[in-house]
Amino acid sequence: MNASLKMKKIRPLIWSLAVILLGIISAIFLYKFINPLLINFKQQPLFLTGSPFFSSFMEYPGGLTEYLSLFFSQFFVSRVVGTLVILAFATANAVVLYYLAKKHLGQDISLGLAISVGILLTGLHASYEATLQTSIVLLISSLSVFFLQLLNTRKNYFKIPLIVFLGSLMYFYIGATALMAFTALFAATTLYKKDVSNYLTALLLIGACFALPAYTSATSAYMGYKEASLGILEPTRKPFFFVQLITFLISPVLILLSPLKKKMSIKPLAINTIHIALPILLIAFSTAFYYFSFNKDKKNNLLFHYLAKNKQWAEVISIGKELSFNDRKVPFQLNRAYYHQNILIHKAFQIPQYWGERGLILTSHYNSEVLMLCSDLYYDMGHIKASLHWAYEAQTKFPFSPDVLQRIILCNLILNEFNTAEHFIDMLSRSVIYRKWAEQQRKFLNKPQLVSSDSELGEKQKLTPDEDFFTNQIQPIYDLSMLLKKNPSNKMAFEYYMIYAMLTHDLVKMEKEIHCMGSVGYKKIPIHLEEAILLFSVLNKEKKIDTGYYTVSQETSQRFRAYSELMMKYRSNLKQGEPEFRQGYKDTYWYYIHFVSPITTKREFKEKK
Amino acid sequence: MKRKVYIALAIAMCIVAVFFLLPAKEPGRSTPAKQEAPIFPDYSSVTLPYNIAPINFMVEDGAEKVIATFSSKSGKKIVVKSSNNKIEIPIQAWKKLLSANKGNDLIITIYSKKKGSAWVKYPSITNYISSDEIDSHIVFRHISAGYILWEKMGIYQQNIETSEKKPILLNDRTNRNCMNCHTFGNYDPQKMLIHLRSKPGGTILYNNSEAKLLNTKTPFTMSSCVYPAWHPNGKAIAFSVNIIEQKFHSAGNEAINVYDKSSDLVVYDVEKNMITTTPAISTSSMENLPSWSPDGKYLYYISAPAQRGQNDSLKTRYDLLRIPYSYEQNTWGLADTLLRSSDTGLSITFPEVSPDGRFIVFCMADQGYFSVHYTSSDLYIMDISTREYSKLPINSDHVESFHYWSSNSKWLMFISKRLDNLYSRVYFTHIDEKGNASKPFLMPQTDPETNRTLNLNYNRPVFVNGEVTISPVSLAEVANESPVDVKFDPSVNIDALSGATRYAGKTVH
Repeated sequence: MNASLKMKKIRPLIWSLAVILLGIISAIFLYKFINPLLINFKQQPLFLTGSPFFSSFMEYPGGLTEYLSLFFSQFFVSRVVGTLVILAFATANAVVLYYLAKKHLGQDISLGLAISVGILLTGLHASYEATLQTSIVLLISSLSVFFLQLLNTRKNYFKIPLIVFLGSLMYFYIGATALMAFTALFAATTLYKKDVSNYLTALLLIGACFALPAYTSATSAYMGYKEASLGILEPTRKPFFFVQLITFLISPVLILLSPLKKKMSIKPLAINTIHIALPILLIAFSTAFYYFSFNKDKKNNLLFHYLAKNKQWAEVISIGKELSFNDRKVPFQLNRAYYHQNILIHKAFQIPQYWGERGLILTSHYNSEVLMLCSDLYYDMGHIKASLHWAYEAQTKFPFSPDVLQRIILCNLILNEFNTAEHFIDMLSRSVIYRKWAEQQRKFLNKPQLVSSDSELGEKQKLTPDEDFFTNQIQPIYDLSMLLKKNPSNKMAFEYYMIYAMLTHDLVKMEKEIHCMGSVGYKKIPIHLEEAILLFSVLNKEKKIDTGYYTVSQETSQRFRAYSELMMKYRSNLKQGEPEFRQGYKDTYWYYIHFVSPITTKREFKEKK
Repeated sequence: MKRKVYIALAIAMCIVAVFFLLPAKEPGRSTPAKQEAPIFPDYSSVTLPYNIAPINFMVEDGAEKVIATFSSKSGKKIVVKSSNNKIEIPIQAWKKLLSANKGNDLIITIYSKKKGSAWVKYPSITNYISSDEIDSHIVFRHISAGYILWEKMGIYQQNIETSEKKPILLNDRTNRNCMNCHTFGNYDPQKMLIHLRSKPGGTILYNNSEAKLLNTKTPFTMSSCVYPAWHPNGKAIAFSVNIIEQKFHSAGNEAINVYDKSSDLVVYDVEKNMITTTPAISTSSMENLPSWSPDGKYLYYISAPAQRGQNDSLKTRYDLLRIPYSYEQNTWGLADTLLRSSDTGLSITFPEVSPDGRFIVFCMADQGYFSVHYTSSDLYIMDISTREYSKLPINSDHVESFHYWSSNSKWLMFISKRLDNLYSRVYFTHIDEKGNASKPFLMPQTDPETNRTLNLNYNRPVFVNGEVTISPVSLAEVANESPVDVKFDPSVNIDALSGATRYAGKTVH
């Protein structure tokens, strides 16, 4: 008896501690491991004030959920606020579910259920693709059931049509998943009453779960039956889909099973043990769930690109080396980072350039993942109209991406297309988050002198071609040569041109623009250029490269001689000598030519659509 | 207690209802302004069809309150009050006013009040209400500003008497494919054609309540059928067949150059499901953009010398020609050049003959034919009987293109990128008996800000004289069917064809 009393006294304390600990674990998980900044970077949520933006979401079922999700997701620009938003939704869901389940499952199990759902909702964001829609749908459907419980004393002729009407509204505004969640929760919380009107209402709601999608798919231009009936559930995205299902179904299932608990005769000691163990189990569950849902590679990949976007090149290099080079975006960003760290032309072949030129410039094979990367690179080197073109292509796929819209604004300002820039500045001005940035750009409108004198915009303007030519997506080296023609001191265009020529084994092209070395301002010939010059000399004995007042260093010449001797040694079977070559020359252009280049290895690439 | 609450609620609702139902009034006192009100869109000194939707607009003087009145010779004055800067005219009152005043002026008076200031009255704006009706609907494609890729895309119709917009077909239900070249026979919403590209691909032909999917690629044509033009009899459709390329500019005003490496013309017989052609329109030159005369006796088109390389595309200039044709006998006459690019110094494109057969409107640009991408593209009008042509005074420094006549030949619709040099917007202008054009005006929208905020182009808008009633769902079902192959006319002498058509994908040069 005393033990029981003691248990009763310490239970609230244990639960309080457990909840606080779970809150801390979840906050650390979100803030440190997931990082809402990366969610924001991945999803690019943009919320605009005004009726045109709002009304675009009212054209299909579930649009309002999407709208609300965007509203809250926009705050993921702040790591702290993003963490708090996700936790707030998880907590709100937990609270509502607790009160819904309490009279069926008892206090402790309801608390356990509620916290579990909170943990699931939090862990969903580890995928980086999960939006707040799951949380919003569950919250609205739970709240609706909660308030409907107040109507239980009303007359049936009032209650039944109201509930069915509410369910229908929920379908059209919150979406199919909300209706299903609402139906499941309603059925679970009312069926135990053995009330015919409740059975009828539940049946009508279940019918609506089928009938409304059928009606929508028969009449809507926007969605077929599958989309109309599943809402935000995506069966093809496992295990994310399973976590979503569990999140929605766990409460109604447990509530439906609650009568079993009453039939089970459990000893008080066992009950007390369960009550103590449950919070501990929840802590263990949360830790395990967060651990298994967290994908470090996925995060690092996102972080890699995020750091590149924010020009943190040293960190890009540090993380990039750990990533898989099966993704050509990795060498792409590393090459950029090396350039911005002034080491590309000296150390490009330290990066495994398995992709050849396809890992340097991405335009020859594009898909939606690389559109903004193409724009980024061309913006870097002042190929502004091309950068703008790729930004527009990106906009077709991501019409409300802030990154894309900002790029479009900057490019149009540089090109003095002020009317076009103003269109997008007006658009971004409707965003609470990006308004300030947009208004800062407004000062440039119709002021070409101000644009020219701006450190960033003016610098890009000086680099951008005056002479019109058709851009070459398949062989962008031609674009690079035109950029050099406009401005021979365009260092990025020069280095990319040289590296491109080397990657494609086209030393003739390399030789053609070598004279720009002086304009770029090198004090001596960069190492990889020395390597290429020496190789060119051997392959074109009748032609001497004019390096002006530059000379190839003794060190590189000696190294080349040693390499050549090794070549002679293994001339009948180069592959046999590969370990020796790798040991001494892994970071040279020569090693790339003979062992790494996809031209040499005849590597096949698969097109990703 | 509950009863008191309900009574209180009812009283509150009555007060609110009365407040909102009270008619707006013009301000008693106001200071006259010297200049006209800055409104967007610009609906001043324009000629409006009597059946147009309300010309909702914004007053852009920073005022916190705006009142606008609309009056004419007869009928009740409309007074609209707004606490933001948008004037949204009640549609029923608008329709009554305009219908009662065909041939009269429409006077708009605007008052605005800034915070802490008195009311200001702007000089009245005078527009003209034409007794010429405009077709009730337009159909267009919405696409974004990209050129290679797409995501969401759709063909829409807008009722320009009410500004209501509805989808006809969206690629949400067709695997996010591309759709384009929507056309109608004789403005009839029951005769519609839409091309689909990518999977599912084909051409949807909707003809008198029956819809089917066609595969218009034959072994003797270089491509599927591209730019369409319905014969006025509704039994045939002229198409071009093209090998199209596009290149992107690195500098200058233009973003993209869309050009053909080769092209020819063919005619598809709807009833026989057969494509035919003739050597005269399948030459080694590039024949393109067919358009019928309203009596169906002439096929108008453009033609340019064959391409040699991509840089030639910048110098390609098209002439305007026509060729006689008899559908009943399937016979062709001799082609006649109406206008040479060598005479104009410009490339002629998109000929559109007025339904009364008197005029042709076409674009001219520095080069090429896909004028929607050329800043230099302007609209011109030619009197067919005299072959005299002139530049229409409706052009701007930006693109004007994709023009289309109303069924009564009184209105010309076109797109222009003059607002922001990026997105095409729909404009209307009235054409009188002499071919003179009135000041163009933007297509009205329920929310007047739409033309500024919408991040989509109005692509190839065409008039229709009624609503397209086939549902998007039905069209999507047709799109997902297996296409029916069209046949190639066995009576066509393949060896006589000197154009690229003969080589089915290979170019002659």
